[in-house]
Amino acid sequence: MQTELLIARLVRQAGPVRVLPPPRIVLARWVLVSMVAMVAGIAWYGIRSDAGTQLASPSFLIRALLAAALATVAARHAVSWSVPGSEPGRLSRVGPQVVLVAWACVLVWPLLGPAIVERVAAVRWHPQCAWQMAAVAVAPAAWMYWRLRQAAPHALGWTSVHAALAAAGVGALAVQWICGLDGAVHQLVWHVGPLLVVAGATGLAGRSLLRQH
Amino acid sequence: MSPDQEVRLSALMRRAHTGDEAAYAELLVALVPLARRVVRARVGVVPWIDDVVQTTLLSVHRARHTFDADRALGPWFYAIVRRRLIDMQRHEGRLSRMEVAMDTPTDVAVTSPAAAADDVDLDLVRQALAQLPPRQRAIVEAIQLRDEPTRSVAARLDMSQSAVKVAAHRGYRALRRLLGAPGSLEAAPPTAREARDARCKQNS
Repeated sequence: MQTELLIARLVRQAGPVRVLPPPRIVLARWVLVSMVAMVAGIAWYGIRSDAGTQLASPSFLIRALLAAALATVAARHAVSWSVPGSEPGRLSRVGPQVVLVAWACVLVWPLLGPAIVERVAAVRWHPQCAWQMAAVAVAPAAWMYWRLRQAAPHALGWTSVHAALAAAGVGALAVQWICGLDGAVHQLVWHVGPLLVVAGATGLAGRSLLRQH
Repeated sequence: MSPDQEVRLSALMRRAHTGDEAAYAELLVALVPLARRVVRARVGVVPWIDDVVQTTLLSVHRARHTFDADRALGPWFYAIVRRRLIDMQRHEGRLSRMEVAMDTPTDVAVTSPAAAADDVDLDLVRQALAQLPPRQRAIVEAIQLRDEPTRSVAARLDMSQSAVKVAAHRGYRALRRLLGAPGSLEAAPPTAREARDARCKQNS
């Protein structure tokens, strides 16, 4: 088809459009949705009995901070990837991965030693954390994917991975306030592990989740 | 994109958002040379420039609601062009790999030069060759008569290898049509579709 004919066809199809809000507004709304989902999840499953004392624990606060940072940075990336020209710069692209590695390091550090294999092997079977994380993450994920599909994501795999990391990060943050098990191995296997699985799976499914027809 | 152009095109996009068809048409027309320039600057003169330009226009149309009127149009537009260019390069790369695989003719008739000369009227072939467009003729002659590799033809004519192969296949098809006999150019490599059809026939 000739370019002139294409232009004529596009002009015929064009009408008034509802302009998408800028990425920062979309991000602010997502944070609001996520906070509501988190509070609802914690209220539904019950807050851990020692939540008050944990607020004074530096390791708990660091883990919570890293989960919150992961959720926010990943959400910001997902939203930015969906608007042409707003893509994160080359350096800041690795932001979510850096936070994720920092979180893993915080958890792995206390495990380092001669008995690391025995400690990892002795981890208790506790899939509730994964289910609770998934349940809390459903609403932020659904809202995020709905908004992303309305925008114009082009790196579908990356956008999807970041959207999933953001939602799973919200779930992980909520589970910090629900689950009373603070062992590093438990956190690594049942809090960070499911988050990575979800992010990987949604990254692979990104094309079908975000493709616009 | 110059600052004046930036201001003018942003204003056109804002008007297009409200449904102003004239402004939208003017904007799309103005974006065509800009897209073309980006493609040329990045990959040189390639036969698929218009394909990138057209997919860019389609993307601009589909994504126009994501343009924030408070921001510059340039980064938004160039991000779309770059993405469509990357997509097209990947597509061309895949196509090129497939064409390299098809380069080995599967069912080339083995005939002696004397027998071939008996079958083909060379004057007719020369006349048919003369009717091809100049560039297509140059490519067919280089590959079939001088046995020149595709790579060197591409370098000499400032084209990509895949473009040379496409032009050559079109040339063979045109020659067959002009000569009026489907088997006239038996030594010509089959097109992807012809090879596939031949395989289907063999299997059945």
